[in-house]
Amino acid sequence: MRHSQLSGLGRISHGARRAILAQGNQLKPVNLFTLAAAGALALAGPGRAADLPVLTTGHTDVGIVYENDAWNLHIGQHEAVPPAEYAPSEAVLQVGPASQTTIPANSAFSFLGVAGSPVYVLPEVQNNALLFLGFGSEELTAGLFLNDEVTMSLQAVRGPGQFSVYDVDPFGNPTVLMNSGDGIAASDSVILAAGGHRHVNWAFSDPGTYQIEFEASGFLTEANQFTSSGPVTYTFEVVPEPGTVTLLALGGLSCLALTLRRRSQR
Amino acid sequence: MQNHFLSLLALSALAINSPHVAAECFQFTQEHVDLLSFQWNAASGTLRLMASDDTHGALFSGDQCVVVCPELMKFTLPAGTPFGNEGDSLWILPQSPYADVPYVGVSAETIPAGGFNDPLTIQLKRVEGPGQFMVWQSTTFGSFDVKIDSRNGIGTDDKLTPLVGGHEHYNWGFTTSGVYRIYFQASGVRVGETTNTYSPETPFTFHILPLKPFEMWQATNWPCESDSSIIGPVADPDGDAAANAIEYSLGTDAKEATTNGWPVVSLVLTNGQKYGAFTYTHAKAATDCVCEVEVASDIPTTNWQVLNDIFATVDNGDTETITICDSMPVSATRQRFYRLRVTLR
Repeated sequence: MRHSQLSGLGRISHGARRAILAQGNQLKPVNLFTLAAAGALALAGPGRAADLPVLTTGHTDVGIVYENDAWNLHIGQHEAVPPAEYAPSEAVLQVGPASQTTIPANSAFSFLGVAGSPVYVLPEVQNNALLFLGFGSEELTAGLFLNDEVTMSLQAVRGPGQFSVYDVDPFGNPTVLMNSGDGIAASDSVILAAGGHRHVNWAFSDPGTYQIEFEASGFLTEANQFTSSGPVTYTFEVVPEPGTVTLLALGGLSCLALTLRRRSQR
Repeated sequence: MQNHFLSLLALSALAINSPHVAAECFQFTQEHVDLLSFQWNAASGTLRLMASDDTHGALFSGDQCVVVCPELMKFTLPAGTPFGNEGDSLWILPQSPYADVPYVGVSAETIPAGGFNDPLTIQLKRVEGPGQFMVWQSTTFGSFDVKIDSRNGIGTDDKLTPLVGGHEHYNWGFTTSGVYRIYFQASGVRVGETTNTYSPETPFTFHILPLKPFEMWQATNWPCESDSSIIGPVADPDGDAAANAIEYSLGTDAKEATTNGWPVVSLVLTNGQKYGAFTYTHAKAATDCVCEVEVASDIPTTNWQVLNDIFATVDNGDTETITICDSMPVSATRQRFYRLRVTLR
């Protein structure tokens, strides 16, 4: 498991929520003021520079290019007018309020968490109110990589919850491509075809800001050499439906109070 | 079952036309293609549906391309889907990319914002093919959003509704293999107007593998052609009086007017008697047709008799040459007429 350490306010929020779901008696006592602040800040989008553009809707790709012997991972809005391209650190990918939904009872989706719990999904099928996010490898030159394939692998997730990427087959069964919920391994990856692109579901278990590291790699045919981009960080901001954060914070508070009381009773 | 005849009497009455020239044709076998891509020409005010090949950055009209669905995409339906009974077969071009399978989408990416109102429409107009056609999306939690289903007829609800500037992928289902021509019409209401602007009804061709041998032959000769007056079994696009089914069976060139390779009549000696004999070639790949040599003593007649006496068979590799002997010796007949009957199964 390569989860990087959670930091600051986001960590508290994450801990509080996880405690509500499954591990109530594992919660460490924290400062109540800090927790309340976490809830309030979540509405404003904690942990990111305020002046970065926030991408909220439209067809957008996590773009992968290899040119001049170097990787170029970016964010592309190639169909925007005018087309826009950002370095991963130069924009925030928003997972807007319309992404909030509920994990179904169907056990095939239990990788997302407990049925009935909220989950935030940028869908594979376009929803006009949300970012329509895919992996874009259109600009990879044919013949450059072995089998015309590159691998995009998940390296780390820093944020308040779990992150997963999946698609759904024609018969409704999910194929989990990446999932931080069971640790991060080499299998948390997606193979992309040169000249292609791929739409997937991007799922987040909790609201808040996520720093997600991806790494592109492939085997250069001509040079007979493996090459990797190294980890590249993308920022996602999961914004819950209005009111949810307050409730979450309050829920966290009451749970925390209960925990603290229990601890004090020991 | 269709019967096609080649009568030797027609030999003297050949109408030689120039051969049909096949248009350039691109086959999508593994590409990402936005098959139904809106193309708006503001100058002429015309809307078209074209195939936009993202992989190669090219546009194709419906009659310049074919989408090939490989046999590996033949699925057996599980229980609980709206696409048929459990155990039924369904060929699917899926909404998520599979290796070596076309990744077929829909695009209105080139429609400028502010040009048309949302949503646009792609209406299914007609399905020509051996089976039924369905289009759906598998949503985030595995439910089915069925957009098009020809099983209950084709109506106004059989449509896709892409957004201006949008791009989507779908599952494209076919209930059996074969060649499908599927006609779509795009439309949209321009900003500031109240009526629809329509594209022409545009056919797109799908080859759902495996094709029957005759379909494969058609696809090889005219990969993008959909006009049955050119590619149909009774058509004679090269004008040499041999219908396509005959040319297919004989292994001759259906795009060149020629009598090369046509059957010939001769006399053979058997048991000291002369018999009329009919010699024809047969393409070994044409396994879905039956050839019968028939004979009559007069024409016109309804009394054609099938001849079954094989006098000789010669293996030529891709074809074989078969000589069928008459049932009556020349000495016992005044005149004989022979014909070849080809039946496509």
